[in-house]
Amino acid sequence: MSKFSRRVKHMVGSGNARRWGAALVALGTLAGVVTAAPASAGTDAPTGTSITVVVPQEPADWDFVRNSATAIRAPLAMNVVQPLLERQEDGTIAPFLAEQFEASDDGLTYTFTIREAMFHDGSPLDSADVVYSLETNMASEVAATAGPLSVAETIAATDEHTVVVTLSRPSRAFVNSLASSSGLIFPEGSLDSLATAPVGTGPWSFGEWRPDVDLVLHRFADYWGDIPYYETVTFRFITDPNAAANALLAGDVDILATGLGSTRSRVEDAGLTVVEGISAEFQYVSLNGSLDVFADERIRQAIAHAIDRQAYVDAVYGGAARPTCTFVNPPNEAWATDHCPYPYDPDRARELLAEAGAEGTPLTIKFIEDGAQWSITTEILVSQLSDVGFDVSTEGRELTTYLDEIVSAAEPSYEITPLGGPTAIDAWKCPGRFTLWCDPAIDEMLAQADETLDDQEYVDLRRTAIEQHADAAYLIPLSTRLDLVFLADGITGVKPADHRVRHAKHPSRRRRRVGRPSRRRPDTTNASPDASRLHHAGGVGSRRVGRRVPPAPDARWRRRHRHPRRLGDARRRRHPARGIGAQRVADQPILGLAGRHGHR
Amino acid sequence: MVTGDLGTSYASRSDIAHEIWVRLAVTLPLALGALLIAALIALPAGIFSAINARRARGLVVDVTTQVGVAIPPFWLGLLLILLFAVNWKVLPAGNFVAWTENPLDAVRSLILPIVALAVPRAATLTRYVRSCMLDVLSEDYIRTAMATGRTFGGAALVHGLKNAAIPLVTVITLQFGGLLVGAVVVENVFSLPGIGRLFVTSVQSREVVVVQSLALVIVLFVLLLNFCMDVAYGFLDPRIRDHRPAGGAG
Repeated sequence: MSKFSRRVKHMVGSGNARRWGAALVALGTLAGVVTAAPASAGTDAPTGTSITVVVPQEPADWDFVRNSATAIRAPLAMNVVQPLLERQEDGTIAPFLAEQFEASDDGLTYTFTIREAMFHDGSPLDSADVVYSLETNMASEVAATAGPLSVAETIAATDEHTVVVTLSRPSRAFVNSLASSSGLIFPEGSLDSLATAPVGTGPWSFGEWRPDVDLVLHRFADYWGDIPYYETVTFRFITDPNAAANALLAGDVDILATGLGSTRSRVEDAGLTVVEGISAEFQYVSLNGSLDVFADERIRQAIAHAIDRQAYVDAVYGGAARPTCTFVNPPNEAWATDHCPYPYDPDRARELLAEAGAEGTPLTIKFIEDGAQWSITTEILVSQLSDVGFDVSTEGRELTTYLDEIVSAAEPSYEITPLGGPTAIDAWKCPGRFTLWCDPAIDEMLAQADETLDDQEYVDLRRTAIEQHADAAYLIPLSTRLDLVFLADGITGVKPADHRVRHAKHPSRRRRRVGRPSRRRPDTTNASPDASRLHHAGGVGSRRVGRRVPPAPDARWRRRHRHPRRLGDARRRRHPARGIGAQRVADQPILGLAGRHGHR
Repeated sequence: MVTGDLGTSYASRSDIAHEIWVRLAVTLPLALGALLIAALIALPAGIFSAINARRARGLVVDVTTQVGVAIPPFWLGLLLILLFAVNWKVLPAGNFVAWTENPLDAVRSLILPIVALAVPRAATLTRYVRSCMLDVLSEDYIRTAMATGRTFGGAALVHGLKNAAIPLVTVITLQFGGLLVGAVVVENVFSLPGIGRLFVTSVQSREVVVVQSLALVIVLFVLLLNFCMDVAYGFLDPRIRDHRPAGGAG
């Protein structure tokens, strides 16, 4: 799921609204089925409640099957359209629209029982919709959506509420993807209307979209879960980060979803809350693997040794990012590693260059000149690489030209380029995208990891693959950006996106029928939100109704989950008994381009 | 296009004519309001400065307009937001509300951007008013008017202003045309969904049809404005209305 939707989900789960939601559940239980209480929900649900969230990008349309842009999924996923399964805060995969699911021992057959739910257009959710949605997602042009589903051999509805999927080989990516964009469910035959009027089963229905202004979602009275506290959610598109911060400071909006390090101090000075998360977005330097000059590994290593990541992070993000040497994404995955083969060491870089007899090698850095991010990055690279003895020049490109020449080009033309995006290691399998370099041995390891039923083996394989990837130094990671969420006065309960500790039990090993745990309320006596369930219903603080939610659990929790200062801390702080993470291939929103930070 | 159907946008699959209409509902009030305020400031200030051209108080106006010319609208916009929206919370920091929803809120959300656009323009316009008036004030008819008993200021207002009006109308019309697209920076600062932003985003996303339609609409607007300007000339100067060639037979 996109990070942001998860956030919205989190933010709607605490305080008085929760009490209200709990009352509703009780009511629902009395009536037999939760969804059988829409009438009372309609009258009980607080009216006039609304919340406004600023998002930095607006998509051209809302077709989440044809385009996996975060701009589309952030407002829609979970809120309007929902996936078959759900990834929980602890990293496990739980039933969602599938009320329960079961994997066979060999990991080849999955049986999903579909819950009773209504689409916003009034039609009931049944197995035909699920089969249609999965087949449509499978045929998507977006690799991240279609790829993990490609192992499915048959997708069949055995009765109105049961879907059976058989796989050609066991795959962790498959089941994980059903909790992300590959598993989103929409009504049979509705593909063509997704662009302008997506329909789903979520707690909010797609309302009015005013291009360049906002998107309004309306509470859906027939929602299968708890009816949300807020009657409307408005996602306002404000591209200019200063304008967005001003709107928040002026009290025009409640939540700023993607805060920048540069506006952080203003928000904090005004006494507003900043919630920090770990972003799944990378910044890295790519070397063109097809060029002879980089065939000598000493030159690649010299480049890697020359880069001072901390200086980079300070200059570009004002500290709101974390240096990293490996392609682990998000950085708190189970296979995170301290491995840093080429730390900042200019002397070593000069030695390597001398050994290779390559002092004064000319290098040209091609970068995106729109916005400040890549220009500053490039300036830093120029000074650091020149310092160790390269002869560096630069070529700025306008964004679209850049994409044409490098990212989407059949024959990418560049020498070195800095770029960012959510791409995990799996995206760099052969033929290696625009790096024009790949290692079949690494791909083999990743494939084995996907198929293995052994959790430890899974993690070990992925870690080894990532370390070897880092050793090759064709792709040199720089940092992962921190996600900042700015909250208006009185808003509490918003959690950062990706603080999950991963849990990598293969579904076939779990050996338990998992049924309806997602309806359970968080245990409020156990104040750790870590242990609590995320929920849609309920509400953020209570600015509008004049009551405040005590922020204590959040503060405590944030302290415990403070960002590791050093590489590798992410792993150390994880409880060893907890198990490990699931693969996240499909859960890769294409961040950014639309924004300022990524490539599409 | 001849039928008035501008087609649909590739990306958003929305009707372009409607889209432009919605945007005009933001940009037109913005441009008109900004020009109106600019004119309201510039006319008295310019005349005052022209009449007092050699005195200290005239110089004060001159220096102020110089500063005004130097202020970029977006920076002024940011300052206004900080003052009125963030510190005093009396006006919204952008956040345009549709006219149909709440006209009062719509006006409120346009006040700051209008001021941000108006002030630098008022400064420019003041300079124009001043120099036009100075030209006119040295004319013989002003001296004649004063000879009939008018004060210098009175003569300037009654006889001078009308004669100075023609170049001013030209400047104002040109500024209006420029404001339609040129307000884009201020539209961004206040996140207003105006014509300028539509233009920029369409160019960025290579939406040729939208850009073409916008160009068409803007050209039509400018033509219409020029037509109005020509008509206004006639009102202001009877010599233009009188189409008999000078010295002609009739």
